[in-house]
Amino acid sequence: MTLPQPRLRASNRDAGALLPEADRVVAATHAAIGRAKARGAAEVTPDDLLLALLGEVSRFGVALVGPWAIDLEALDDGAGPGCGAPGASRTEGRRNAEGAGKGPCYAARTVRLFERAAAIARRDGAPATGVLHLLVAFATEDGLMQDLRTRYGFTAMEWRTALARTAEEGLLPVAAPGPGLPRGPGGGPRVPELLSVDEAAEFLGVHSQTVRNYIRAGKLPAYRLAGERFLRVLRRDLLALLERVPVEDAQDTDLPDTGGG
Amino acid sequence: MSRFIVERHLPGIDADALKAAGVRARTCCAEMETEGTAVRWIRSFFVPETEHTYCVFDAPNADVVEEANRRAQIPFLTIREALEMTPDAV
Repeated sequence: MTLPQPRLRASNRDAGALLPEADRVVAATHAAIGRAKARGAAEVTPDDLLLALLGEVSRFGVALVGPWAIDLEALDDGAGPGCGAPGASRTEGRRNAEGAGKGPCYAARTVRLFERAAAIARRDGAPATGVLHLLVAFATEDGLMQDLRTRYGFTAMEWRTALARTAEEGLLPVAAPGPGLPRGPGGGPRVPELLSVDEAAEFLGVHSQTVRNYIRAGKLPAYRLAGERFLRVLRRDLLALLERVPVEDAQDTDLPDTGGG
Repeated sequence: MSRFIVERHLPGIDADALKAAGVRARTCCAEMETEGTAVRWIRSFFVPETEHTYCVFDAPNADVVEEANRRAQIPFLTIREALEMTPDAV
Protein backbone atom coordinates (compact mmCIF):
# COMPACT_ATOMS: atom_id res chain seq x y z
CA MET A 1 0.00 0.00 0.00
CA THR A 2 1.46 3.29 -0.97
CA LEU A 3 0.15 6.59 0.23
CA PRO A 4 0.38 9.45 -2.19
CA GLN A 5 2.96 11.96 -1.10
CA PRO A 6 1.03 15.14 -0.45
CA ARG A 7 2.23 17.97 -2.64
CA LEU A 8 1.77 21.32 -1.10
CA ARG A 9 1.60 24.95 -1.77
CA ALA A 10 4.68 27.02 -2.02
CA SER A 11 6.23 28.45 1.09
CA ASN A 12 7.79 31.88 1.26
CA ARG A 13 11.16 30.20 0.79
CA ASP A 14 10.65 28.62 -2.59
CA ALA A 15 8.04 30.64 -4.36
CA GLY A 16 6.46 28.35 -6.88
CA ALA A 17 8.07 25.16 -5.67
CA LEU A 18 6.02 22.36 -4.17
CA LEU A 19 7.44 20.66 -1.13
CA PRO A 20 6.30 17.50 0.54
CA GLU A 21 5.03 18.41 3.98
CA ALA A 22 7.61 16.24 5.74
CA ASP A 23 10.37 18.32 4.16
CA ARG A 24 8.73 21.49 5.39
CA VAL A 25 8.82 20.13 8.91
CA VAL A 26 12.49 19.31 8.51
CA ALA A 27 13.12 22.83 7.15
CA ALA A 28 11.31 24.39 10.11
CA THR A 29 12.98 22.24 12.77
CA HIS A 30 16.27 22.83 11.03
CA ALA A 31 15.67 26.56 11.44
CA ALA A 32 14.85 25.96 15.11
CA ILE A 33 18.21 24.25 15.61
CA GLY A 34 19.82 27.19 13.84
CA ARG A 35 18.19 29.59 16.30
CA ALA A 36 19.47 27.65 19.29
CA LYS A 37 22.94 27.57 17.76
CA ALA A 38 22.92 31.30 17.10
CA ARG A 39 22.15 31.82 20.79
CA GLY A 40 24.94 29.47 21.71
CA ALA A 41 22.38 27.37 23.58
CA ALA A 42 22.76 23.67 24.26
CA GLU A 43 19.09 22.93 23.77
CA VAL A 44 16.45 23.66 21.17
CA THR A 45 13.65 25.13 23.25
CA PRO A 46 9.94 25.19 22.37
CA ASP A 47 10.36 28.95 21.70
CA ASP A 48 13.01 28.23 19.06
CA LEU A 49 10.66 25.77 17.45
CA LEU A 50 7.64 28.09 17.58
CA LEU A 51 9.51 30.97 15.97
CA ALA A 52 10.88 28.68 13.27
CA LEU A 53 7.42 27.23 12.55
CA LEU A 54 5.85 30.66 12.31
CA GLY A 55 8.74 31.66 10.05
CA GLU A 56 7.93 28.71 7.82
CA VAL A 57 4.34 29.88 7.35
CA SER A 58 5.12 33.57 7.14
CA ARG A 59 5.28 36.01 4.31
CA PHE A 60 7.30 39.21 4.59
CA GLY A 61 7.81 38.58 8.29
CA VAL A 62 4.13 38.20 9.04
CA ALA A 63 2.51 34.88 9.88
CA LEU A 64 -1.22 34.85 9.20
CA VAL A 65 -2.99 32.44 11.50
CA GLY A 66 -6.74 32.83 11.36
CA PRO A 67 -7.64 36.44 12.14
CA TRP A 68 -4.23 37.20 13.66
CA ALA A 69 -1.35 38.71 11.75
CA ILE A 70 1.62 37.76 13.87
CA ASP A 71 4.53 40.12 13.48
CA LEU A 72 7.58 37.89 13.70
CA GLU A 73 9.99 40.74 14.13
CA ALA A 74 8.22 42.05 17.23
CA LEU A 75 7.99 38.51 18.54
CA ASP A 76 11.63 37.81 17.94
CA ASP A 77 12.66 40.87 19.93
CA GLY A 78 10.69 39.60 22.89
CA ALA A 79 12.30 36.19 22.66
CA GLY A 80 15.71 37.09 23.88
CA PRO A 81 18.04 34.81 25.75
CA GLY A 82 16.50 33.34 28.85
CA CYS A 83 13.04 33.32 27.36
CA GLY A 84 11.55 29.88 27.74
CA ALA A 85 14.48 28.23 29.47
CA PRO A 86 13.10 24.79 30.20
CA GLY A 87 12.87 23.70 33.81
CA ALA A 88 12.16 20.13 32.82
CA SER A 89 14.83 17.47 32.89
CA ARG A 90 16.35 16.13 29.69
CA THR A 91 15.46 12.72 28.41
CA GLU A 92 17.79 9.98 29.48
CA GLY A 93 20.05 9.67 26.45
CA ARG A 94 22.57 7.04 27.38
CA ARG A 95 25.87 8.22 25.99
CA ASN A 96 29.53 8.06 26.73
CA ALA A 97 29.53 11.52 28.25
CA GLU A 98 32.85 12.90 27.03
CA GLY A 99 31.67 16.12 25.56
CA ALA A 100 29.84 14.57 22.60
CA GLY A 101 29.37 17.18 19.83
CA LYS A 102 28.80 20.87 19.59
CA GLY A 103 25.29 20.90 18.13
CA PRO A 104 22.34 21.61 20.41
CA CYS A 105 19.88 18.82 21.18
CA TYR A 106 16.13 19.04 21.67
CA ALA A 107 14.94 20.01 25.13
CA ALA A 108 12.59 17.53 26.80
CA ARG A 109 9.68 19.95 26.38
CA THR A 110 10.43 20.22 22.67
CA VAL A 111 10.48 16.43 22.40
CA ARG A 112 7.02 16.32 23.98
CA LEU A 113 5.73 18.85 21.45
CA PHE A 114 6.90 16.60 18.62
CA GLU A 115 5.08 13.69 20.20
CA ARG A 116 1.91 15.70 20.68
CA ALA A 117 2.09 16.82 17.04
CA ALA A 118 2.53 13.23 15.86
CA ALA A 119 -0.57 12.22 17.84
CA ILE A 120 -2.56 15.10 16.33
CA ALA A 121 -1.38 14.13 12.84
CA ARG A 122 -2.48 10.53 13.42
CA ARG A 123 -5.94 11.57 14.61
CA ASP A 124 -6.10 13.78 11.55
CA GLY A 125 -5.35 10.81 9.33
CA ALA A 126 -2.34 12.61 7.88
CA PRO A 127 0.48 10.49 6.47
CA ALA A 128 3.14 12.67 8.10
CA THR A 129 3.46 15.23 10.84
CA GLY A 130 2.97 18.65 9.28
CA VAL A 131 3.96 22.19 10.20
CA LEU A 132 0.36 22.91 11.20
CA HIS A 133 0.22 19.85 13.45
CA LEU A 134 3.25 21.17 15.27
CA LEU A 135 1.67 24.61 15.57
CA VAL A 136 -1.52 23.05 16.95
CA ALA A 137 0.56 21.12 19.48
CA PHE A 138 1.68 24.48 20.86
CA ALA A 139 -1.85 25.59 21.78
CA THR A 140 -1.53 25.24 25.56
CA GLU A 141 2.23 25.72 25.75
CA ASP A 142 3.64 28.45 27.98
CA GLY A 143 6.72 30.59 27.29
CA LEU A 144 6.53 32.45 24.00
CA MET A 145 3.20 30.85 23.13
CA GLN A 146 1.77 32.25 26.36
CA ASP A 147 3.03 35.70 25.32
CA LEU A 148 1.40 35.22 21.96
CA ARG A 149 -1.95 34.34 23.51
CA THR A 150 -1.77 37.40 25.74
CA ARG A 151 -0.48 39.77 23.09
CA TYR A 152 -3.05 38.82 20.47
CA GLY A 153 -5.76 37.97 22.97
CA PHE A 154 -6.77 34.45 22.01
CA THR A 155 -7.28 31.21 23.89
CA ALA A 156 -5.72 27.82 23.15
CA MET A 157 -9.02 26.67 21.70
CA GLU A 158 -9.23 29.69 19.41
CA TRP A 159 -5.68 28.98 18.24
CA ARG A 160 -6.53 25.40 17.36
CA THR A 161 -9.74 26.42 15.65
CA ALA A 162 -7.97 29.11 13.62
CA LEU A 163 -5.34 26.61 12.47
CA ALA A 164 -8.00 24.06 11.55
CA ARG A 165 -9.83 26.68 9.52
CA THR A 166 -6.61 27.88 7.94
CA ALA A 167 -5.80 24.31 6.91
CA GLU A 168 -9.27 23.87 5.46
CA GLU A 169 -8.96 27.02 3.44
CA GLY A 170 -5.62 25.87 2.12
CA LEU A 171 -3.98 29.13 3.07
CA LEU A 172 -1.20 27.36 4.90
CA PRO A 173 0.28 24.09 3.80
CA VAL A 174 -0.94 21.03 5.64
CA ALA A 175 -0.48 17.32 5.16
CA ALA A 176 -3.87 16.37 3.80
CA PRO A 177 -4.93 12.75 4.09
CA GLY A 178 -5.75 12.33 0.45
CA PRO A 179 -4.85 14.24 -2.68
CA GLY A 180 -3.58 17.64 -1.82
CA LEU A 181 -6.39 19.86 -3.02
CA PRO A 182 -7.63 22.09 -0.23
CA ARG A 183 -10.76 20.92 1.53
CA GLY A 184 -13.85 23.08 1.55
CA PRO A 185 -16.17 23.66 4.47
CA GLY A 186 -18.29 20.67 3.47
CA GLY A 187 -15.24 18.40 3.55
CA GLY A 188 -15.17 18.17 -0.22
CA PRO A 189 -12.32 19.67 -2.21
CA ARG A 190 -12.49 23.43 -2.49
CA VAL A 191 -11.06 24.05 -5.91
CA PRO A 192 -9.54 27.45 -6.57
CA GLU A 193 -10.32 29.27 -9.81
CA LEU A 194 -6.70 29.31 -10.88
CA LEU A 195 -4.72 26.10 -10.76
CA SER A 196 -1.14 25.05 -11.36
CA VAL A 197 -0.48 22.23 -13.81
CA ASP A 198 -0.09 19.75 -10.94
CA GLU A 199 -3.29 20.90 -9.30
CA ALA A 200 -5.11 20.72 -12.60
CA ALA A 201 -3.83 17.18 -13.09
CA GLU A 202 -5.12 16.28 -9.67
CA PHE A 203 -8.45 17.93 -10.35
CA LEU A 204 -8.88 15.93 -13.55
CA GLY A 205 -7.37 12.77 -12.13
CA VAL A 206 -4.75 12.54 -14.86
CA HIS A 207 -0.97 12.78 -14.96
CA SER A 208 0.49 16.28 -15.08
CA GLN A 209 2.15 15.38 -18.39
CA THR A 210 -1.33 14.79 -19.81
CA VAL A 211 -2.30 18.32 -18.78
CA ARG A 212 0.84 19.68 -20.46
CA ASN A 213 -0.08 17.71 -23.58
CA TYR A 214 -3.56 19.28 -23.57
CA ILE A 215 -1.95 22.71 -23.31
CA ARG A 216 0.50 21.99 -26.10
CA ALA A 217 -2.25 20.58 -28.29
CA GLY A 218 -4.27 23.75 -27.81
CA LYS A 219 -7.09 21.89 -26.08
CA LEU A 220 -6.55 23.72 -22.82
CA PRO A 221 -5.74 27.45 -22.56
CA ALA A 222 -2.91 28.26 -20.14
CA TYR A 223 -1.79 31.50 -18.57
CA ARG A 224 1.34 32.81 -17.00
CA LEU A 225 1.24 35.29 -14.15
CA ALA A 226 3.37 38.31 -14.87
CA GLY A 227 6.98 37.47 -14.10
CA GLU A 228 6.23 33.91 -13.07
CA ARG A 229 7.64 30.83 -14.69
CA PHE A 230 4.75 28.57 -13.88
CA LEU A 231 1.70 27.99 -16.00
CA ARG A 232 -1.76 28.37 -14.58
CA VAL A 233 -5.04 27.17 -15.92
CA LEU A 234 -8.58 28.22 -15.19
CA ARG A 235 -10.93 25.81 -13.53
CA ARG A 236 -13.70 26.57 -15.99
CA ASP A 237 -11.36 25.65 -18.87
CA LEU A 238 -10.82 22.29 -17.21
CA LEU A 239 -14.55 21.75 -16.95
CA ALA A 240 -14.86 22.73 -20.60
CA LEU A 241 -12.70 19.72 -21.47
CA LEU A 242 -15.50 17.44 -20.37
CA GLU A 243 -17.35 15.81 -23.21
CA ARG A 244 -20.81 14.48 -22.78
CA VAL A 245 -20.92 10.73 -23.33
CA PRO A 246 -23.92 9.32 -25.20
CA VAL A 247 -26.11 7.25 -22.92
CA GLU A 248 -25.39 3.96 -24.68
CA ASP A 249 -21.60 4.40 -24.22
CA ALA A 250 -21.79 5.25 -20.57
CA GLN A 251 -20.55 2.45 -18.38
CA ASP A 252 -21.43 2.97 -14.81
CA THR A 253 -18.00 3.04 -13.27
CA ASP A 254 -19.13 4.93 -10.18
CA LEU A 255 -17.66 8.12 -8.95
CA PRO A 256 -14.05 7.78 -7.98
CA ASP A 257 -14.09 7.18 -4.27
CA THR A 258 -12.49 9.67 -1.98
CA GLY A 259 -10.32 7.09 -0.27
CA GLY A 260 -7.27 8.83 -1.63
CA GLY A 261 -5.47 5.57 -2.52
CA MET B 1 30.72 5.60 4.90
CA SER B 2 29.98 2.63 7.08
CA ARG B 3 26.72 1.18 8.20
CA PHE B 4 25.73 1.14 11.86
CA ILE B 5 22.95 -0.45 13.86
CA VAL B 6 21.66 1.53 16.80
CA GLU B 7 19.87 -0.65 19.31
CA ARG B 8 17.34 0.91 21.64
CA HIS B 9 15.05 -0.31 24.34
CA LEU B 10 12.02 1.94 24.47
CA PRO B 11 9.61 0.48 27.00
CA GLY B 12 6.05 1.74 26.70
CA ILE B 13 6.71 3.75 23.56
CA ASP B 14 3.75 4.27 21.25
CA ALA B 15 3.49 4.85 17.53
CA ASP B 16 3.24 8.63 17.93
CA ALA B 17 6.41 8.86 19.99
CA LEU B 18 8.23 6.65 17.48
CA LYS B 19 7.09 8.87 14.65
CA ALA B 20 8.12 12.00 16.52
CA ALA B 21 11.54 10.49 17.17
CA GLY B 22 11.80 9.79 13.44
CA VAL B 23 11.14 13.43 12.60
CA ARG B 24 13.82 14.51 15.06
CA ALA B 25 16.32 11.96 13.73
CA ARG B 26 15.71 13.13 10.18
CA THR B 27 16.18 16.77 11.11
CA CYS B 28 19.30 16.21 13.17
CA CYS B 29 20.91 14.19 10.37
CA ALA B 30 20.02 16.93 7.88
CA GLU B 31 21.45 19.51 10.25
CA MET B 32 24.73 17.63 10.63
CA GLU B 33 24.98 17.19 6.88
CA THR B 34 24.81 20.94 6.44
CA GLU B 35 27.67 21.21 8.91
CA GLY B 36 29.68 18.91 6.67
CA THR B 37 29.25 15.70 8.66
CA ALA B 38 27.83 12.95 6.51
CA VAL B 39 25.24 10.99 8.46
CA ARG B 40 22.06 9.44 7.25
CA TRP B 41 19.23 7.61 8.94
CA ILE B 42 18.32 4.79 6.57
CA ARG B 43 15.50 2.91 8.28
CA SER B 44 14.34 1.47 11.56
CA PHE B 45 12.70 -1.69 12.79
CA PHE B 46 10.64 -1.74 15.94
CA VAL B 47 10.00 -5.12 17.55
CA PRO B 48 6.81 -4.69 19.62
CA GLU B 49 7.32 -7.91 21.57
CA THR B 50 10.63 -6.83 23.05
CA GLU B 51 10.11 -3.06 22.65
CA HIS B 52 13.53 -2.93 21.06
CA THR B 53 14.24 -0.77 18.05
CA TYR B 54 17.01 -1.33 15.53
CA CYS B 55 17.94 1.71 13.49
CA VAL B 56 20.23 1.67 10.50
CA PHE B 57 22.48 4.67 9.97
CA ASP B 58 25.19 5.47 7.44
CA ALA B 59 28.10 7.50 8.80
CA PRO B 60 31.89 7.65 8.73
CA ASN B 61 32.14 6.43 12.33
CA ALA B 62 30.13 5.55 15.43
CA ASP B 63 30.78 8.89 17.13
CA VAL B 64 28.90 10.69 14.40
CA VAL B 65 25.93 8.34 14.81
CA GLU B 66 26.02 8.92 18.54
CA GLU B 67 26.04 12.67 18.05
CA ALA B 68 23.01 12.52 15.75
CA ASN B 69 21.11 10.45 18.32
CA ARG B 70 22.11 12.75 21.14
CA ARG B 71 20.86 15.80 19.27
CA ALA B 72 17.60 14.05 18.42
CA GLN B 73 17.22 13.03 22.07
CA ILE B 74 16.58 9.38 21.30
CA PRO B 75 18.00 7.06 23.96
CA PHE B 76 19.99 4.05 22.85
CA LEU B 77 21.78 1.02 24.25
CA THR B 78 24.51 0.34 21.70
CA ILE B 79 25.86 1.58 18.40
CA ARG B 80 27.65 -1.11 16.41
CA GLU B 81 29.08 -1.30 12.97
CA ALA B 82 27.19 -3.72 10.74
CA LEU B 83 27.65 -5.47 7.43
CA GLU B 84 24.70 -5.64 5.13
CA MET B 85 23.69 -8.59 3.03
CA THR B 86 20.88 -8.74 0.53
CA PRO B 87 19.57 -11.73 -1.45
CA ASP B 88 20.84 -10.36 -4.73
CA ALA B 89 24.33 -9.61 -3.44
CA VAL B 90 25.46 -12.95 -2.07
